[in-house]
Amino acid sequence: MIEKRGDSCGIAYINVSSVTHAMRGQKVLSANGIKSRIKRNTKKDHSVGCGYVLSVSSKDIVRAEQILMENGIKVAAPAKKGGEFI
Amino acid sequence: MIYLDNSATTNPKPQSVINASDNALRMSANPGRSGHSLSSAAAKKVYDTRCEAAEFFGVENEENVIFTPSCTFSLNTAIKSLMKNGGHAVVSELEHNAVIRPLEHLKDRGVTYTKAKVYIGDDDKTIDSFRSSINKDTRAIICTHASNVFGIRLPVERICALAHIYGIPFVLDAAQSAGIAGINMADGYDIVCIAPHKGLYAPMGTGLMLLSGDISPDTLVEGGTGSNSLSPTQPQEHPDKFESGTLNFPGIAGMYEGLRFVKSKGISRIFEHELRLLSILYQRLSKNPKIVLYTPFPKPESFVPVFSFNVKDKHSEQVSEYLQKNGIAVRAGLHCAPSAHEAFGTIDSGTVRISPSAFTRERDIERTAYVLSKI
Repeated sequence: MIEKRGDSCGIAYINVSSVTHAMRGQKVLSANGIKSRIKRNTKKDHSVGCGYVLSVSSKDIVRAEQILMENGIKVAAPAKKGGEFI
Repeated sequence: MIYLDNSATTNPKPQSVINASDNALRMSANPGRSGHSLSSAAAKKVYDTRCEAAEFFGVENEENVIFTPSCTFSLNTAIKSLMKNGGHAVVSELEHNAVIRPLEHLKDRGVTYTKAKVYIGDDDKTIDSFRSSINKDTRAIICTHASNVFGIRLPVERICALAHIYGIPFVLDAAQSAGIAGINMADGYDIVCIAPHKGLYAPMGTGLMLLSGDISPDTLVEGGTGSNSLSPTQPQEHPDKFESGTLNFPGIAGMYEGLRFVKSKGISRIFEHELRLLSILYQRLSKNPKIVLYTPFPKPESFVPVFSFNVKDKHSEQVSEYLQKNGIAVRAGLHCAPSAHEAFGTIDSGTVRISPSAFTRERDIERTAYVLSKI
C-alpha cells in the first residue's frame, strides 16, 4: 500500500522498492500525464534501507497512487518530505 | 581473417555496440546504487535495455527481463530451481553441457533425466519422442531451440504446448537462436535463456533470463541489490531478486545497441542471409568427395544457420588448424555438446563447425569452399 505524504511545496513522495520499479513507475505515470522525478531516499533510519522515491505534485498523489497500483508497481515503506521516511 | 565462428560469439560487433560499451566504461558509474547523475544515467541505460529486450521478445513486464553473466548462468538458475526437490526432467538429445551438467550435478538429489530423440524434418515424430519421455515424476522440460553443433531446429512451440498439457514448466535454451529465429514469450515459454553476445551482437559476459509472469525461480546467488538493504534476506521483487552484485554495465549498454542492430536489420533478413550463405557452402562441400556431411540440405523450417562437417581421415582439430593457417576461423571438437555428437556418431573426431553472421560475405564462403577443396 502507498501512503502519501506532502511537503509545504506541494511535492509528495512515493517510496518504491527498486530503481527498476522507480523507472517503470515514472514511465507509467508519464503515460498517464503525471510528471515525476526519481530520487534516492535520504533518511538513514528508514524501515527498508537503500531505495528510491518517485516525487510527484501533491495534487496528483491520489491518482498516481492508483495508477501505480493498477500497474503492479510495488512500493515499500511510506515516504514524506524530502524523500525521508517516517 | 574470415570469421565463421559466430556460434561461439559474433565477430565483428557492430560499431554502435563498441561505442556504447566504450562510453559505458568511460561513464563508469554503478547503476542502481547511488543518486548522483552518473549512476542515474547508468541506471536509465540499464532500464532502457530491459525495455528494449522486453519488446524484442514479447515480455509483458520488463521486470521479468533478468540480466545474468551468461546463458549458462540463466540455465543453471532455471534448472536448479525447478529440480531442487529431485524428480525427472526431459531434455533433447542435442543439449549443450549448460543443460546436461547441472542435471548431472543434481543427481545426488535424486534428479534423473531422459534425452528425447530428435527427428530432422519430422516434427510429429520429435513431439512423440518428447511425449513418451515424460513420466509421472517429470518436473521440467528443458530444450534447446537449435543445436549449437548441427543447427537442427526443434519444434519448441509444440514441445512447450505439450509440456503445459501435462502441467510441466518449459525452459527454452535460446543460446543459438535469439536474433535469428523469432522468440515470443506469448508462445507460453516459462523461462527463456539467452546468450546475447551471439545473435544479438552484444559483448561477451552478458546473459538474459526471460520469465513468464507466472514463475519466479529460486536464486542462484544472493547479495547486494541496491534496494531494501536493511533486510538480511534477498528482495523477492523482480529483477532485483536475481541481480545481486554489480551488473555488467558496459555489456548491457552494448546489448542495447545489439538489440537495436538486429531490429533494424530484421531477424528474418539476417536469417535468410546467413542460411543462403550456408546453403552455398553446403552445395560446394557436398560435391567434394573428401568432405563428410551429417545433416541434409539446410531448409529454413528445420535448421538455423549453423552446420558441421568433417574431412575424411582427419580429426576435426586438424581441419580447423588447416583453415586457421589459411585465414579462416572456425571451431572444431565437441562444442561443449557431447550428447549431440553421441547422437550423430561423431564423438571420437568431433566436427568442424561453420556459423556465419550478418557481416559474413558470399566471397568469404566461396574462399572457404575453395580452401577446403585443396585440403
